[in-house]
Amino acid sequence: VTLDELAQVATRDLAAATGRGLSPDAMLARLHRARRRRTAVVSVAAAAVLAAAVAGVGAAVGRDGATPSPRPPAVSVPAPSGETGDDLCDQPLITCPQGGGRSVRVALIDPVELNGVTTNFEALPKIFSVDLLDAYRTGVRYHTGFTVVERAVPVRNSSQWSRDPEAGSTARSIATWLAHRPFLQPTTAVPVSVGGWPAWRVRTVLRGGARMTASRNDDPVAPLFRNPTGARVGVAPDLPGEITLLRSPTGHRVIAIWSWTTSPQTSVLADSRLMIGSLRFP
Amino acid sequence: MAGEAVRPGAVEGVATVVVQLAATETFEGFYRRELRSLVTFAAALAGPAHADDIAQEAMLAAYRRWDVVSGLDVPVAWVRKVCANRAVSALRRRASEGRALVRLGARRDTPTTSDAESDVFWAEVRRLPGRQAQCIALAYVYDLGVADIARTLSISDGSVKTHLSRGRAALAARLAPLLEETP
Repeated sequence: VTLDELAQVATRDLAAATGRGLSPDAMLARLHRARRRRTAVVSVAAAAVLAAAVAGVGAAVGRDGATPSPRPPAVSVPAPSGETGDDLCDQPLITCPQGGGRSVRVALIDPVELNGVTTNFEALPKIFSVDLLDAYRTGVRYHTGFTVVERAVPVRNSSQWSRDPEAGSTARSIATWLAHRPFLQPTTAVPVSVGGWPAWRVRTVLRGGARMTASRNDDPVAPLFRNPTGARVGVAPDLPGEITLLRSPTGHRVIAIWSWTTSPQTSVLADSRLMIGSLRFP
Repeated sequence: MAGEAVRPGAVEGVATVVVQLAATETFEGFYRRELRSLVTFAAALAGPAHADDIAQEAMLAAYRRWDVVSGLDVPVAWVRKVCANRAVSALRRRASEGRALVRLGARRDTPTTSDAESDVFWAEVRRLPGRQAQCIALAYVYDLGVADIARTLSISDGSVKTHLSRGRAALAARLAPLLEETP
């Protein structure tokens, strides 16, 4: 049998399998429902624009009795491109702030807003649990992105993933502790800002010959953090990164934002900083 | 507007606008005719589990721009391109998510296996680089030639030939045992 013959059989089988139970009429009805829902969302946004504009005109006229020159409205209508519309906002735990463009708000324990300041990230984060999400870079050859780990617990350098009391409990103390992990290449905690909140960034690249005392599945890693829903953050030779730490705006917990790449060129991490710095924890 | 023509009217000095009803079909007719093959195409590139959603997203994109898409020479080529890109993106994203689970220690991804030769064939197509997979899927699912594939994906004929050649070579190598064993 030739490749073409196999392909023809495979195509027939696939068509039969996908056609089974497929109802174009039912799917068309669903499509129209999605379309109507989107139209309603855009209408609400347009009404908000109109209200804001009318209020602005009224206030200005009231002040000086003259009609003001046109000014841009306070909010904008999202472009009906379909790329960031209801497909995106229909996901569990995700809402799209009105007039927010590419922004999405994720209802983690500490809600986080991804502002889409760069277009080189996928619009939709992957949410693993109420305190853990991933965001992925686009347009790069190597797997690159960052992970938001809420309720991050610093752990000892052992296989137990148990809390290390020496790290302290503030973002700053944990950043200092992190920068002095014996298995990391020499580094320091750099003060930065995340969405206006003070934070500290530490480079996490494994030192040559460092012993990895823990395992993540079957892979050896040098352990750094865990969180209550089971995430384990560890450093491996093929996963250089940076970890930014900040205090949770809603409590006394610490949020770790782990920027990582499988690329040997760690310069790609710098490209993720703009996105991470723009995260908001409203 | 497509199908609209202006000509001098019978009354001197007055132009009569003659609006010819556009010959384009309705979106609903287009949808009913193309959906099944589009779902098959999406399944070829991204797997059956997500094919309905991907095809639906492509159709929704077409619906939102139907005034433009319906006026294209080959409207279905536009939808196939959207579908092809979304399918490859979806596949890449699932791969990213699978690696994330490993990275975060949640669990190791369990590959699904199938003994069916057809499933093996499409699984190997999905392992190809995105553009090669798109060209191969268009060639087999829609039986398109080089020129039509090039027009669908907005790439050159030469690129299509290269992608098809490399894709077929990779498939032949990976499926060699299957091809030899099949009577």
